[in-house]
Amino acid sequence: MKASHKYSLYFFVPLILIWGGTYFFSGPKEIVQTRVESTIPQVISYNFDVKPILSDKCYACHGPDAEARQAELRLDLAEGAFKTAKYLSDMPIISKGDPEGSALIYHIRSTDAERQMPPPSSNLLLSERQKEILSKWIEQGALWEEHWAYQIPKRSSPPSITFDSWAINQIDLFIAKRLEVQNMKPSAPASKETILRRLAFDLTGLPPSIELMDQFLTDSSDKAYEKMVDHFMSLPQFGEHMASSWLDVARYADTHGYQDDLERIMWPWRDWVIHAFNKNLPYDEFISWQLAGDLYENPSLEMLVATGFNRNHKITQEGGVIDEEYRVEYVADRTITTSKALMGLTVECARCHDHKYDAVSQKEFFSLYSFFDKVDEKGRIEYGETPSPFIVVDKEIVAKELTFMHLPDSIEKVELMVMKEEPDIRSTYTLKRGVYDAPDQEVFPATPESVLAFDGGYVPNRKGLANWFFDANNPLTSRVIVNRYWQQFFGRGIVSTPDDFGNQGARPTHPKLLDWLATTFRTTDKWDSKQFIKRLVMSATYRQSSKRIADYELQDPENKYLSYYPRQKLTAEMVRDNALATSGLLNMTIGGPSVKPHQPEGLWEETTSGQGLTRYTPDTGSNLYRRSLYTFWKRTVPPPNMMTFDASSRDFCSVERQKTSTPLQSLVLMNDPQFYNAAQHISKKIEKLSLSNQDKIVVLFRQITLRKPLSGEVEMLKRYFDDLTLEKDTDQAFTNLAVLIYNLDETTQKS
Amino acid sequence: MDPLHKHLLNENRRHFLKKVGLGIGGIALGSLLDPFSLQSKTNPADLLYTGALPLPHFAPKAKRVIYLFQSGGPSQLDLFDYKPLLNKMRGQDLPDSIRKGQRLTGMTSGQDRFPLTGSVFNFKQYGESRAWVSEIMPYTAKIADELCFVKSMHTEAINHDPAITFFQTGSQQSGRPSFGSWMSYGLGSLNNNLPSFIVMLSRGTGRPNGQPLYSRLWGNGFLSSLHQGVQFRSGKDPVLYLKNPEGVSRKERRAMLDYLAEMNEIQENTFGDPEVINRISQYEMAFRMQTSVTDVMNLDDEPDHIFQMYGADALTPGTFAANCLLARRLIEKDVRFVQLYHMGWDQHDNLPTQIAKQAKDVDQASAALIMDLKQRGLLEDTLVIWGGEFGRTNYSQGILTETSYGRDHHPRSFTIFMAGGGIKPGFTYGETDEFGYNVIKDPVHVHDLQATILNQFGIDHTQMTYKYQGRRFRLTDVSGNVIHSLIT
Amino acid sequence: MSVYLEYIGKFHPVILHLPIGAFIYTFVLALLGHNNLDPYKKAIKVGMLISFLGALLSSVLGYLLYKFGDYTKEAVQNHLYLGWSTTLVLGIMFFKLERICIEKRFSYFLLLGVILITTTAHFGGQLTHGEGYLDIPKTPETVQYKKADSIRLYEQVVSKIFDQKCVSCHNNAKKKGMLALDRPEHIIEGGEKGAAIAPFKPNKSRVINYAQLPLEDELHMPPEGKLQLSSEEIQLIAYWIEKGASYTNTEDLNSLPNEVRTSALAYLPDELPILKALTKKQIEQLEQQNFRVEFYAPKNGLVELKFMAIELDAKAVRQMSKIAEHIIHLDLDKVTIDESFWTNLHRFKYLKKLRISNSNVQNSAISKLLELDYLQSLNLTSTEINAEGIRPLLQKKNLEQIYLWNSAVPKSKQEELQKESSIHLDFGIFDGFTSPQQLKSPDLITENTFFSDKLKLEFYNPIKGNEIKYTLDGSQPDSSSVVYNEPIVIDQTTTLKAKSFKKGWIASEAIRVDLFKVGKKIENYVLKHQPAEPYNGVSKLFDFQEGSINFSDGHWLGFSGKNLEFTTKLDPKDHFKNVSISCMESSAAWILYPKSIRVMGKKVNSNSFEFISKLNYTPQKISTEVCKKSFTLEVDARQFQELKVIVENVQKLPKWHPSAGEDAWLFVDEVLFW
Repeated sequence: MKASHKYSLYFFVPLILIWGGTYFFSGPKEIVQTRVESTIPQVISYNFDVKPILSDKCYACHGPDAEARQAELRLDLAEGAFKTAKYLSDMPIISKGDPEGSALIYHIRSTDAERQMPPPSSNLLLSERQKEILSKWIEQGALWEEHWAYQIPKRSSPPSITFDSWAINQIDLFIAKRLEVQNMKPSAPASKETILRRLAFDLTGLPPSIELMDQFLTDSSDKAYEKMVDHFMSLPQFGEHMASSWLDVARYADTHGYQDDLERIMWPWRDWVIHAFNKNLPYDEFISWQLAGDLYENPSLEMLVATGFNRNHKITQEGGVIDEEYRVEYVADRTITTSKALMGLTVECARCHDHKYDAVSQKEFFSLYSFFDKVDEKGRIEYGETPSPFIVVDKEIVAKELTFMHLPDSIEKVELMVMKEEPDIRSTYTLKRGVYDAPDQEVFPATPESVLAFDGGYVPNRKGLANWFFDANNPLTSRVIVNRYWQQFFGRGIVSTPDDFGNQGARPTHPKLLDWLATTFRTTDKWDSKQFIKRLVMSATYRQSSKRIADYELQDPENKYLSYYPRQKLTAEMVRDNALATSGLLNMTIGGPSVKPHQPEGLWEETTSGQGLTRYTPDTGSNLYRRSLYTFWKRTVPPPNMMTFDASSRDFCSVERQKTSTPLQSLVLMNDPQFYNAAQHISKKIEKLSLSNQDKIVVLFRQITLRKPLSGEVEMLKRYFDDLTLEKDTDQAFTNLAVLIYNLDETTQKS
Repeated sequence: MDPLHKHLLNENRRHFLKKVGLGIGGIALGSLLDPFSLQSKTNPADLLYTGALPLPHFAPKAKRVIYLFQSGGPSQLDLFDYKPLLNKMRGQDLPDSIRKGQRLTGMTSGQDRFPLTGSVFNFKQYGESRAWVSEIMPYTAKIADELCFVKSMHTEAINHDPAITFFQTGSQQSGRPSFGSWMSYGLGSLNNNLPSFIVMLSRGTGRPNGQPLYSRLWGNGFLSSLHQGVQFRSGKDPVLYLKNPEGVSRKERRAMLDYLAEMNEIQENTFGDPEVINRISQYEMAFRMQTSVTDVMNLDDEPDHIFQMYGADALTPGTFAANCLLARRLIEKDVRFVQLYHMGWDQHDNLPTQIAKQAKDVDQASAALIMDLKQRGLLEDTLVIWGGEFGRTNYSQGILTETSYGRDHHPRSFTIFMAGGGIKPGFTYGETDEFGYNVIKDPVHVHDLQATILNQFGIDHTQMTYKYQGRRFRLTDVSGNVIHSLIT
Repeated sequence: MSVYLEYIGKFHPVILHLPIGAFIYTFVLALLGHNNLDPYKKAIKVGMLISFLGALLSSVLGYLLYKFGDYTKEAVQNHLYLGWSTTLVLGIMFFKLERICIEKRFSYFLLLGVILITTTAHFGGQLTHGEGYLDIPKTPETVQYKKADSIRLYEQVVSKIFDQKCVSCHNNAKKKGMLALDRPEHIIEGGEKGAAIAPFKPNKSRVINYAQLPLEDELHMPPEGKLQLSSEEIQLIAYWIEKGASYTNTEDLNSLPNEVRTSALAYLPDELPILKALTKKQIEQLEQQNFRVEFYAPKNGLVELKFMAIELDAKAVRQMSKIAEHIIHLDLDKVTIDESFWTNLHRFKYLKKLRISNSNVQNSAISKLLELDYLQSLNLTSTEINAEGIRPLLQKKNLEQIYLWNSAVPKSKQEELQKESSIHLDFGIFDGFTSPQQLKSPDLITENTFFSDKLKLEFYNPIKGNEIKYTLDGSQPDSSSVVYNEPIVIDQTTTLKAKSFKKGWIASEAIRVDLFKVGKKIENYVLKHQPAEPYNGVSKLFDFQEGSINFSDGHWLGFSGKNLEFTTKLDPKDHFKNVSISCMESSAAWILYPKSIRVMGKKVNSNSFEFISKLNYTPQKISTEVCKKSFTLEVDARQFQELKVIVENVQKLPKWHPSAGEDAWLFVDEVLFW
């Protein structure tokens, strides 16, 4: 009996001890967040850390908009921020080096609803981290800087880096430096197959042909890649591809929009844009001709055609509208499009009141507006009328001067809308609340002071404006366009908000690189787009593999620092063009009037009002298989399968498209007759080859994805093919197989 | 590294464990090897898309909306807002004291005379709520005690396009998200095999070629295109590209999707791009939609007395009545926002004959829809809204004869009605003057109506925002107050 | 290389069980031989060896797992150090086994070993299963849920109205008219014109008078342009003043007049319990059981649950019952519910809305619903619940609505049940909402009403069970007429009549379509004046498709101020005697009938046109109706090789037309020779 008693002593006492001990000192210890808490930078920069907070959380009531300003406090200007607050016994709003003595810190830390800033009623909240940044900034002396985007781009020499063997040109040095600072490393180059398909899509919007791919794979010289770059840039498809993104910016469409949305003739202007890019017209002329081609001394007809850019806006034909109200809309549209496309500023916010976040007053908006207000045009036009001013282009003129225009012989002549200046047709006034019938004070052509004053040197018309844009002191023009080119090749701009370089816009992830590119495009390249683009695609950054690096997922989830090439979706145009090209259906004709491919029937009848374009009759023959940038664009009922793939609606200027994936996209790829037709077409061709079924499958896979399939993939496709042939004949099986490959994620991606 | 291991290592981002059939053993082994593997969600495709708002701001009274939008501007003076004075003063000019220099459309500003005209239809009061309804809406009159009439609506827009855009997006300029898209963005979807925002169109028999509508009226604007309105059409393909091409069976499509997922699976290893998983779930949703949409559109399982209730039109696909029956079926499947457009209410001339036909198109079906929802216990948390984009003038446009007249657009006062979703039944709110021209009591602006509707969903309209181009946009833009008197 | 290490590291959780098992085994052996270890020494040695090796290996693997897994240093610290120290102790025990065994210090080492292993295991367990794993489960603290029956008029209603509509201008900082309405003391102070409120006398209080002034009066408050007070709000303030305008006392809700009571209720917050929100884990478990979880309101942790599958089994019920008090709405539509749901029903304390339509609920279970004292709305549509089944609920407090449409309650009992209870019983739509409906008439797809040799007539009939019966001899179709099931082909002039028939529906109106066989289909023609866009496309004149009265339906040719004039060559074998032209009139759209129609002919041998026949038309009365008319003239085709037809436009709108003097429109659809 005793022994057992002893046992219990040895056995149970320790267990109870252990139990108590563990329970006591384990305590409520949180498993520390495995995500690295984003720490506060050592040195706080006003432009990069403080201003985004002030702008987003304070400018609504303490910013540039005088009317909305509270307590006469203005935080967007230095004098406003450093003055004293009367009601707080003259405590300075911001006292340098002394956060506790700054009224700003007192307010943002206070918990009394009356005193707290931003006030609860504003639904705006300051996070602890943001408060920390503000007080640390003041502690470090509250250094005030001009807004980064308004400072003229400074050209700094590319930094030196440790693993410079990776870098090919100066761009890589900047990228690698930024990675190095975060102790990250860039990726190895992508496989040859991947890089050629990526390059072909980026430069022509089409996949490379199999022959070209084979030639590239067998060419082992180190010039092989460069040869391909030059080849693609020399093709007319290059112009078509660059033009298709410019059509978004210019809100190009084949109909007038608004209520009746009847047809208009603007395709000749599209032909000019393709021609300009292929001819590698320098960017400053490309823009100046479109902005003010008619104001050059004896301008060429081509320059006049270019001014069609500013006539792409919607025009109404609705009965009973007030003419002046819509004319004002057209001029405002031109102002907004020009500023968004060329200087990335949201001036439309300053139409009814002073801009609430950027230094653009309502007066400055209407001064910019006055450049475009001198056109003799009507607000409402009749059915079938070409809105004046327009020029008439017939066969001889095309043969003589406008050789780039593909006027089909079935069309005698076309009336093309252009800009025509009538200097003293009307004077321009600011409009109260931006409303057409409430003119206020007269204004004269001028541009926002904060960007660059429009003083003596410029002629007060659109030609002067064009020169102002390309003035060496203009801080925005070159940055905005290089940023948009960067976005076209890397999926995301160095400034991720291409349409807003103001206070609420994003900050550049690589500011020095952005400025270097901006100054290079202006000075070294002298606005030569092809040369600039070539440098982008030749860089090692562009040629990196797109394999995601899991280790950096926490540090840089969005791959902002480009430690690998960002994989992107194909644009709406590329998805369809890829299906047509790989299946051999594509009709490569360049230019000419818009075409009507297949579209579900009844779409136009359903929503239109019985007048105008009510019936959609698809074209016949090869017109069905033209490139997507030629698809007829009716504004109120745009092509459904392109809208499903995030195309822009062309109602107004858009410099960036959404990137979503929805079930409707899968339905288009699986069931749209155009895609199913492509699958049938390619499977018939493959089926005729005298090869084994297995080899045919490999050829089919490679024809569509431009990649040789892995053994595992071939085996899986074969298994699918065999299942299919149980109840179907071989060409139907091949069609289903082709549909599968067209629906592969890889086929609709640019990896 | 053998494939089996690769599966186990990344299984928290993959949903093929079940398909690969490793069975219980595999799962147990997996848990020992990688302790965190079992806790994470296995199949994102089955997850409901939860809205951007973590929670409704306060207790919601409604979960779904049916918006019966009468496009073109139905004449309130001939439907609900009875003004006997206008009959007495028939033909006399509209007094300036009433008009107070209001801006007119180009169509009537040219007229030198503005002859007043009442309605040719006679009015009666119905139900305990004594609501006024004209004789061309007999069925709506029968259910007056379920309805809440708002007679003091007003808007600024005077032309169709800006006015409809204002009602749908909160701003007269195009480019902003529509009502349904804001709801889908805010509260997410309630089911995972139907879109959360569905739109159906029907043509009025009164004026078959009325004002046009555009797909951007149910567009997602700057929100993600996940929230765009999906139009259901009565033709072969209810949703664009829904049906498989000829000769491709559903079984074949399932096999293709399985292989597609497998092939993408290999693809995802080479690039490790999480987006691939998202796209695979989009294909699964599309596959489910192919059956769920065709099932809900197939009315064969509806008993005959239901068709009798909605009226003979309900038998013909594409009519307003058929769309109302479909709307009820979609609500039963928990679709969040169903929007019907009935076109043809733009009676500038020949009003009596045209509006009688328009009313006949919608009267019985609207009333039947409300009562059908009520008897199924769904009206409690389903808000039904009936109305247009503005009203019509009390003076005649064009030639005023004994039997016929026309009315121009009138943004200053018009009537809509609502039912269910926590709105007071059997109640009339707001009044217009005896000329039916200006609102004199309890005006309700378009933004107020939008704010009140959002309030029923537990959403504070000032807090549901989306930051775009640096500004926090709201459906109610910068104004809008909740009208508490409309709420039970 | 790192990938392999990471992989091996993953075996840590497997291997670590080895030393624990082995050490416990050694511990037990030591206990057995505690006074004489010798017989067990060999076994203990083996046990210690395995324990040590196991500990060493698992420590190494553990270190690898830490190094490559995503654990931060703080989380792993304790576990790491303890792990290594355990290995150390076991190592000492094994290598120095001989010495420590003898001096009986072994048992102390055993004790130390057990302590170390258990603490290490505990921290390891925390790492794996989360920190709160061992917490003693706390019951969620709940606040008592009370239905409001009293109301503080100023605090809960009037102050809210002032805040919403007046305080923006009348507050301490911005005292318009020296009046602030944001706090009781400021209201009592009044403004520059004196007191704002005269207690007990609403019509003497400025707040009420100013609010009721006409909108234009500049004294009217709130000023024009600002958000106005609604009539209910004015009534509430007036009632508060009438009761003495006190800032503190409360009123009994039921004492308020009905009007005031309903609008006051809108200001009372919806009294709801405050519970601890559901954890992410709980929600996931619910979702795995096919429940859809929706949050009801942020601060009170209540949720709405809907069962997305068809079979609610005991396991799902158990899962749901665990968080039963959090559920405020429960939707089990079309679900077969397991018996255990009813036995657990009492747990659903705050359930307000229950939907068990189309479910297998039995009458016997209904009485259990009495346990749910906050139940407000119960949906029993399409179930087998009958009159007796529902009776127990009829007097239930708080229950406001029961839906019994399509249930087993017979029509005869419905009236009687409703009388017995204040709860609204909804048995579906009232009779007499719909009387037997008339079908829509058949929809003929064929657009042509004229043809030269044969014509196919087709109907579009999407409706199930709907039969179209038709006649071709002009007689009225009835239930005995021929049923249409495939297209009808006709080859001579016929009158088609057709009606729709469907069981239970009134037959539709008949449609009548006159189909003319025409002598000639015009192929060649030359037009003098071009029609105006968009009403152009000359082929419409001869396409045998009659237009509707809607001028923009795409079938009409439109001439603005000009005539329709065309010539056509004839074929010798044409033998027709008339030409008819159909026109449209819609004065509101400036479209009028033609003034006259003239036909000229060129004889076989001559080359000039000569007059054949003419028809003048003068409208009798001014009509704004939209209508169509066909004008016919006699023409004997045989003598002519070419015909010219001139349809003369009125040119200018006549005097009586509001836009007199403008160009008139001439709309023509079909020109027929027969």
